[in-house]
Amino acid sequence: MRRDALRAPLVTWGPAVLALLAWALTAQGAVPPARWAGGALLAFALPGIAATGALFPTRPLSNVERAVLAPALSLAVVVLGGLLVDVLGMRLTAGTWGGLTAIATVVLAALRYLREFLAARDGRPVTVDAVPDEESGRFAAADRRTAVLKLGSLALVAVLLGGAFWIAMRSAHHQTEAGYTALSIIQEDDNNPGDGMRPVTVAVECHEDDTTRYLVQVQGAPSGTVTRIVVSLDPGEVFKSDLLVPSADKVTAELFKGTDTTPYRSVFLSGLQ
Amino acid sequence: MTHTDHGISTAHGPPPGTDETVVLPRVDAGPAEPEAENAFRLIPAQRRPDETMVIQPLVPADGATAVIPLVAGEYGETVTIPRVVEGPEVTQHIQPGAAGAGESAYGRPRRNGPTWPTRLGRAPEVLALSACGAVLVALAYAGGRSGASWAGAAFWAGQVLVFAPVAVRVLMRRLSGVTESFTLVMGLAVIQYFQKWTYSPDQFRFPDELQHWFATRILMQGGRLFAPDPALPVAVHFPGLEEMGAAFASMTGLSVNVAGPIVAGVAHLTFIGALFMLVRSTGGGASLAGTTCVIYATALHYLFFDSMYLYQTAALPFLMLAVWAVRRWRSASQGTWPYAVVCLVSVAVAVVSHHVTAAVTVGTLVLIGLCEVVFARPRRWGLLALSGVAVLMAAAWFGLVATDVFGYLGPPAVAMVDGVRSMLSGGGSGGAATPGNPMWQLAVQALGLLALFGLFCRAALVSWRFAKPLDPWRAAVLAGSFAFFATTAVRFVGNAGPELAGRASTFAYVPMAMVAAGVLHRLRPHLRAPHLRAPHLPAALARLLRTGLAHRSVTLPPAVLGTAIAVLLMVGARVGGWPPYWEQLPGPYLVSGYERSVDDEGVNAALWTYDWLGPRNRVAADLTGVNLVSTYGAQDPVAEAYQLYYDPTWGLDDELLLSSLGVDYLWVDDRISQQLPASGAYFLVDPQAGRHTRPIPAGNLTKFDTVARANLVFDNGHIRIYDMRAA
Repeated sequence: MRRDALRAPLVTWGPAVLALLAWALTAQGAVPPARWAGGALLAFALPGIAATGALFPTRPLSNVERAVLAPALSLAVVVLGGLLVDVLGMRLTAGTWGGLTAIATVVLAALRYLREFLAARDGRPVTVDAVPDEESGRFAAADRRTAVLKLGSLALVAVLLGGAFWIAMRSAHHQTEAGYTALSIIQEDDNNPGDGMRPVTVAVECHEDDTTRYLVQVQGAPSGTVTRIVVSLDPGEVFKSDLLVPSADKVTAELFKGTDTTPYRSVFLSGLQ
Repeated sequence: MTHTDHGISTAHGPPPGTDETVVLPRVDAGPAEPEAENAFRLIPAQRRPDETMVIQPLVPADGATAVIPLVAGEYGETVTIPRVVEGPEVTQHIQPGAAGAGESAYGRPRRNGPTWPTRLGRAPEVLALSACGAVLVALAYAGGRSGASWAGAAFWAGQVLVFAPVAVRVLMRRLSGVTESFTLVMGLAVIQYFQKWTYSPDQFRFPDELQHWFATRILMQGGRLFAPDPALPVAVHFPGLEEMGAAFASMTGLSVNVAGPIVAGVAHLTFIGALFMLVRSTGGGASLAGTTCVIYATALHYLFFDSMYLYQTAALPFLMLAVWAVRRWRSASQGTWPYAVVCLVSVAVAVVSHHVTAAVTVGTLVLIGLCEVVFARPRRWGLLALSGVAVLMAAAWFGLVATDVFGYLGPPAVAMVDGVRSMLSGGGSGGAATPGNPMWQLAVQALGLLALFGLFCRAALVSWRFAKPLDPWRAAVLAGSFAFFATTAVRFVGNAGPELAGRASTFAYVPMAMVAAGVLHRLRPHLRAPHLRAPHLPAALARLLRTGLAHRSVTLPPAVLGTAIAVLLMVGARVGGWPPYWEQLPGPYLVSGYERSVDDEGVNAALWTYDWLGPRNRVAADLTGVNLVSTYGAQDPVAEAYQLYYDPTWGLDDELLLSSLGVDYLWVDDRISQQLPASGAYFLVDPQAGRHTRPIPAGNLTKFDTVARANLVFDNGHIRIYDMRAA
């Protein structure tokens, strides 16, 4: 009896309490796993559970219907609630999303309580349980061995899917792609246009397989100003150099890889009129 | 007291702690059977608004009335009905918060009944076998990335291994019930979703997914809806998916690359669950609901397009939920108004999430409403009124907020009409821009379509002959199935026909799957030994068959023929759906190859444009370049500048075009001069789509080096970016 006495308020208010807890967990400072759990509950479960309870407090629903309505109505709360928040002129941040879903859950739980209260006052039946789904009766023996077999099979499914994902991630990360290097030149804002020179930034992005040595040569034709820079970059590393080059001349930047004598990459800026 | 053979244990109610399930052999249809005299007869006494039936058991019951869901069954099939008892004797009224509350008026969980592991039936073992197929597919993808020759064989073996065990099981008569069936279809959906995820596990690669990834990032950065999105402007006014993705990513702290697939997966699973729920609400049993979901898994775009991080994926569950809700809603009953609320909320979410899904949702409700008016006696106008509200909601959103949707959907519709007109006038329909599938794949697709047409004809015939008066919902499902064949015909109309047909099949295949499942579920063809002198068979073959069939007829159970047809449909969907056959496996770079075109070089070049040039520059590019610069680069893409690349020399026309399109930068990928486009087009707007016989000459691309006042600002080997603002 005590368990039953506790059950109704737990079913009615449980999602609301959990939602407030999850909102706290989604705060920026929480540890990642706690944020993941809290965010998933608020985005996919709790508002929908509360909405189902608020809409159908006195009607029987099957377990399947409850299982489907929970994520569906949660997503509906996110979409329509987000629109409302935006219309009210508030920014949609982590705190807003958490607050929106948590408050919606509390409000819906209160609505459920109210409807249950009114139903009870009017003498109408109030349901708490899901309607059991019909079964054929062809069950295996309900012993420990069966339970272990079923749980073991489900665990095997999880392991196999995890393995499939690991294989996919590994092969995607190790997909053979030839290394490359990007060379770029950009003209920056000229604060002193009358001096016949212009500022440019030359950059080298290394995406080779190993540490690579480069020679960057910048030449302003026809005056022939030449700047040479030798740099060694690790994969993923970016080199940048700010230079002053003649304004009227075409400026060419060439990149030589290792000891090559022919340019590996070449970019240019036309002379300003 | 439980009589599992011929009776029912409702007389005095079960003693506390015993199984409350009653098992009733169906005797209300079909020919008489020996036990019929003693069997429990279902006597409809009162139809409740939610389609449950109140029946009076023959066995005198002291005031107890059993309320059972209306469950479709077949003659000879045992249906199990949860006993739900109502009446003053057992109904408990709950005082919220009061001591002693919590007693349910309905079936309490059975303490000594089947526990949840046993309710799962064979689902865990079947899903374990199916998951082995997922590993095979992942290995095939890994093999594709490394160019292994066995990858194709592993892919197909994996596909069959994932699908067939579940198909066999749901078509078997030995399902333990709804729990097993639901677990099977949801498990299949999860495993198939993993197949999609493992195709590109580290990042989004499909263009539309990248567009929504970018839109979600805009929302997360700006915190406001309806911010301009150069990648997919029309999606700005359908922010449902972005809201879901941003909410989940913000609250969990996960990146959009991780949160997006999870959100799409949840929406996809909800859609499948809602489909299962819908079939159950129309009276379908566990097996029929499961079979419908399994057949729907053979839709052309089920595996990829309908489970990608796209706005359609977010809207689809609400289409199904709206239909489920109107199924349960009865305007005459005050007690069912929550279903109307669910319906309207679902319509609202669909309307603000995806234009086509919104239109289909509204159209479906109108169709069902019309069928209820035409076929139901007495006529029911309530649903038509409800669908009128749905029409108003969609019209208001499209007319007041998402006004650009007409400009977005209009041109394809006009092209479709032009294609039909051209075809009818004998001028041909315009060929498809994409390369055709190999012959064996086309044959499989044709066979699948033929099989579906056969199933549809059988369903229509049975309805015509036996289902009189026609049930409104049956009429609606048949009309929807007919629409499936109409949309399939669109495949042959115009350049965009195949794509439009595929996209339409997402919706039209729902009723088709219901019809196909309904027929397959009961299909038990009898194979009889042919007569030795049958004129149409060679004598040797007839003799062989006669020996094999042992001089008697053999009945093929649904699990055999149904599975064979379902596997045929699945193979047809894989070869005709997404990804296309030339990128069925991930692998090396392909020009204009969608996912196969997104590589490290392209992504980094696009990121460079954002970092060094800033956002919202007008960048002209090829098909892949437009996709990358508009998302990773946050640039304003120019897709109509194909002539700049096709001209062998730079001339005045090019300068005028450059000026008229307002192009700031040119993205030039020299690989378009090395390969033909895998998808048939080099550019998003390409008048030569489907007609390319050789790659673009290299000189067409190097000519930009000589354009006066053009600057080559970026070069990574394959991709060069020219600053054309002064040119």
